[in-house]
Amino acid sequence: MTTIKHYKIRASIIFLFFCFLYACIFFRLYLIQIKYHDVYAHMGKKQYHVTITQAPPRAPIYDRSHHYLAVNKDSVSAFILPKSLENQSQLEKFLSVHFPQALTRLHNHKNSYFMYVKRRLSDAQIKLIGDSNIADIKLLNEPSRFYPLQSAGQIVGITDIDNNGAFGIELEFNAQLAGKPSTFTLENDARSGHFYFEKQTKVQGKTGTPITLTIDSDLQFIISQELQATVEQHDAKEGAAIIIDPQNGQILAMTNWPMFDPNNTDDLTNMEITKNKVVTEVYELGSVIKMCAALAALEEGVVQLDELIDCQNRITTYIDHRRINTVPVSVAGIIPFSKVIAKSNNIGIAIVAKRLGPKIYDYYKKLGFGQKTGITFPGEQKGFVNPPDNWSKQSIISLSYGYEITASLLQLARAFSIVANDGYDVIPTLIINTQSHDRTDQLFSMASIQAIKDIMKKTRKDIQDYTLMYKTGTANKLIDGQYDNTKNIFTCAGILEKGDYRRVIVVFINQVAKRNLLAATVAAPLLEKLAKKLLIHDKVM
Amino acid sequence: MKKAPFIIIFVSAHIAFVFVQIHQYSQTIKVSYQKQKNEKLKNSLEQKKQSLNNQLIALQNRAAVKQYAVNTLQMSPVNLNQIKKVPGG
Repeated sequence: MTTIKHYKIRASIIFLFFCFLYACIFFRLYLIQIKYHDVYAHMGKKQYHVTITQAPPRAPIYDRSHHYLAVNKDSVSAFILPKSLENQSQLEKFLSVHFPQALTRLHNHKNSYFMYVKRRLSDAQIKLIGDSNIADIKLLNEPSRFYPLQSAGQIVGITDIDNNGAFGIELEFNAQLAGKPSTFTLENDARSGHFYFEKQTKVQGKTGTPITLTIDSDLQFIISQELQATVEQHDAKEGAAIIIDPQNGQILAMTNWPMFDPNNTDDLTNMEITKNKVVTEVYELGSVIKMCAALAALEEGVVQLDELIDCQNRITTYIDHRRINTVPVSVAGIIPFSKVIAKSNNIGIAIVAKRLGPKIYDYYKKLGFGQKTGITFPGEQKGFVNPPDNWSKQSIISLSYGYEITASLLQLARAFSIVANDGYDVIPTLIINTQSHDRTDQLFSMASIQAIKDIMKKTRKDIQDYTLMYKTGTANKLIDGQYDNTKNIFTCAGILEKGDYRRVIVVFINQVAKRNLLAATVAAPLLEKLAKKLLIHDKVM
Repeated sequence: MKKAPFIIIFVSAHIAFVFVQIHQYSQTIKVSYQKQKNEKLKNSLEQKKQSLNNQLIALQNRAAVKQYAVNTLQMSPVNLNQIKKVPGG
């Protein structure tokens, strides 16, 4: 009896034990399947589904002949995983010799999961890491840019370490070039590695749109070589040049010297040389502005081409008790107005400007000074024209020969383009636009345009059967509030034409080593050289 | 129809159907795997093409070409009067 009783007790205990066990299992199942269903479902989904965002390749930038100005390339970056290093001492030894900055960062971020050793490695650095056989340093391909034409660096710009536009066209059109990234959800398991079972597009991206510039790569190269030669010949601080087709405003070449190498910016410390100063810097340009004052006077009818102007045959004179100087080579007596501009006499143009009064301001504005040109380029300066409200007695005199007015070389080129384009407005552009533009407003009468061309033809140079007419300007630089006549900027703006073929060229040389030079001996020869090179290029092409 | 054969046919059909389903899924994965392999190959070929293209562009560097023409081939710059445009050319 006792044995049976014990058996029943033991059986009951085992039964209850199993009941309890099943109850635990069912309770656990209840928790997993019902109560925390969403949590576990989400956890499972996360393990099986990976969301990735993929940026499309950055679109290229072309010149007008469809040559590359910016193209993609892969850069190699080195990284480490600080939390899971295999041989820390070996790594630290290597970093201390070759990448000391990375070692400092490693000591500061010991607990981070990921750290770059260096991005955009040079070929030598890639070889060095490969030869070291350090398993902890891993290499990664990252997109970057290659720029085939160094002289276009200041126009095209560069991208930063994350391949976003840093300046120039790369910055201005960053969104268009970069496109929009796509987001995908991939279904895979622990063993499928890089492969997936299913791919779903969550966000549909957009590929970048290429940009075609109006720049001609060959011309850009030729112009930059000539500019470099002139800057070096005169031991000048810097120089710039621009060539525009005035009939459509397309900029064919625009270059600055010194320049930088857009493919090697690691050692770039002087950011000044990355600026496209044709657009982003303004200067008091001096006598080259006389052409604009003369055009205003002719359009307003306050002077005639053959009207005799008394230039007083002296270097220094006074008008309204204000002192005016003119350079010795421009000294003249009573001469026709056309010769006043040809000789670049400050006294003569000041006399005529006095007749214009405050209207000179309106005409300068009409020619585009003191306002942005409409070019799509970052950092464009609008310059300054002293408004009549701020005028002193000196202002009208100064404005007539290029002081109290600051302008960019692009603005000067635009003003000359208006003359070359029969008085019609010109909007400079760097982007080839397939849409046709209607002709813009005629700002000046044909009679005034013809008269100003006749004046410019007095300093003409015939290159074969093409006419090159130009105006030079030598301006003193304003340093610490004082005009320094030993530091000059030399400008020359000209029009090259034959029938329908028209080109506007502007050159600029800043601060040469030798004293007492004039733009006629510094900038004008460069302009002539560029005109000849331009014709060779245009004839051959 | 007798009960037993019906059950056998019914169960067999279902088993066959399940196998067809599994086969279809495995085929899909196989093709998808092949497609992904091809995509990877295409990407690596595109990378190679880009790299070769960049090498070609670098070799066309105008400064290097000019230097080679002047120094090695003893060429000199063309003058304007040496150029004549052929009518209709």
